[in-house]
Amino acid sequence: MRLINTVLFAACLAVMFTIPLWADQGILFIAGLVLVEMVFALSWNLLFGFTGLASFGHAAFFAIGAYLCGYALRADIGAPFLLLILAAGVAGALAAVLTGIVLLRRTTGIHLAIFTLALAEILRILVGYSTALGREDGLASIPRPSLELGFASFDLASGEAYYWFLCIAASVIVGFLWLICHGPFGRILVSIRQDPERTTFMGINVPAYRLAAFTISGATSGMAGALYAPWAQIVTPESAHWIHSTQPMLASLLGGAQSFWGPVVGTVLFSIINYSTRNLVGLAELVIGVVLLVIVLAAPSGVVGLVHELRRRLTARVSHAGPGAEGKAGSKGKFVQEAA
Amino acid sequence: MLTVENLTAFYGESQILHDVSLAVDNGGRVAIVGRNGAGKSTLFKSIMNAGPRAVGKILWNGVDLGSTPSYKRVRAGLALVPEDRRIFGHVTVLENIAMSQYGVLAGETPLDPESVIQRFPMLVPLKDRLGGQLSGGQQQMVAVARAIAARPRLMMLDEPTEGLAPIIIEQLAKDVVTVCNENEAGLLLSEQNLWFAKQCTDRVYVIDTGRIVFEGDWATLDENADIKQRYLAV
Repeated sequence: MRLINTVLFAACLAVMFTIPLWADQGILFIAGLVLVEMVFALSWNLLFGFTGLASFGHAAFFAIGAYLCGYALRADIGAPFLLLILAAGVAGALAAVLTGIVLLRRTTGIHLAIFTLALAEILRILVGYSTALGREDGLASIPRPSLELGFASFDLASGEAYYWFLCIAASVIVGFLWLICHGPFGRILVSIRQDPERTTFMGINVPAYRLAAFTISGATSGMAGALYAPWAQIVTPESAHWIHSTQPMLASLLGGAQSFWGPVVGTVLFSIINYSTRNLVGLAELVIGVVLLVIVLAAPSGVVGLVHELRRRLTARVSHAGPGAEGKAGSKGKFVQEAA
Repeated sequence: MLTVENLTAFYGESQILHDVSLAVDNGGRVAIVGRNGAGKSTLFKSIMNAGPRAVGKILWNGVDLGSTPSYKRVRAGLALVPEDRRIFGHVTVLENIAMSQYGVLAGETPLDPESVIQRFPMLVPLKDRLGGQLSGGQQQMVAVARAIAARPRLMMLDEPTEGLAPIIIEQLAKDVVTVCNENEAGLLLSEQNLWFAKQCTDRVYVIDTGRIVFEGDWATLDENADIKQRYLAV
């Protein structure tokens, strides 16, 4: 099973890194957006899927990072691009920690979701009034930077070059989140999601862990925004819109919020559905809605949960075949195990 | 070690506890017995500052705990095993026990989960199984093992025998007494099962509708048939 997972993972990485070699510019652009939204969805799901906190205004943190990076690149302040991404992460973390300190002590359920939604909308309206940030038009013509590493310099002006940079940056952030989610910190977050009171009785400071998760989530959302700005080359107040906040939710629920990779799978699937229905004028939203409804009804734990369930059933069927059926089911059993 | 003085507790406008006072000496083993809804769980949660609005004094080693949050009370040496077992389903038995490391007293180290599990023979073959795959009795054992691994000074067990088979209850009684003795930990036990409570403790309080109606040793309670009939008979 582990071998199959490794092969699948390597194949996905290979597809991701080779897209510029075989796809046209349109698909390349969508693939870049998928990478950005993937990071955004994972950062949201650190809160929802792991900690049990729902934020309906997460696009605010994304927009903070996007505007910070876009503004700095347009103003050509000379800061290294990697530093800008880190600064966007710090800005997202600061916004999250302030929001968390105010909200998490008072509320964690639906009220938190509504409060974050309200804060994001306030941010969007304020940005729309700001002349420095381009008011409703946003910041356009954001230049793509070059990457100065000291020992080497890479020009990211071309779509292909920036896409490869996106691949590496997204992989690093996803790797960081994976380590967090699969270490002791992640286990405590899951415990908090399961039962905060029980976790408190273990001597764990639940509010502090919730705040830490909120901060990390805000930071990585900010970094996703910073990666987005030079890719799209435009940032508008819509990046803080509540509709953008629903993207990571849909992706996580579609892919499976209880699984680390669920939001990644969900983002990819959501983009494929979006792309496939782009020519159905007036019907695209309806088709997307129906498809999402069917998937969510058929697989409440998301696509990843559905795959796990199918694997479990197949494994159980193979083991129930028993020794008497070995002659006939032997090859079938082997096939099932390999496929899983 | 633990002294509760004139504790009243409320859920919203409803008063659940009325001037409850009790004491557990260092290493002492005390039972709180009473019917369903008598206020046993509310008393335990009030001692841990975990839910009800409580007024009164809770002294731990002579220090008033005041508004000390629950997790700090755990780190001060109080361990609560709530009534619905509550072990973590997403980690193994060993990992469940290892999570006790967050609740140890400052400067102390938790007990090694492997050594703790040896004290609960029923858990030994299950140590790598996920918490969610255990039976009720096994989960209760894990909950007690996890509490004891943090080396608490006082272990509070809230109705540990609820829903368990008689043979498991018998085993649990032996294990609880053994681990408390080995770790010099006190025990505050909330129970409806009088046999189990008697096996594990020396002193007993009877609670009814949020008031302590009897305090003494088991022999005195046994002599007092009226109390048993009025407050404990089904």
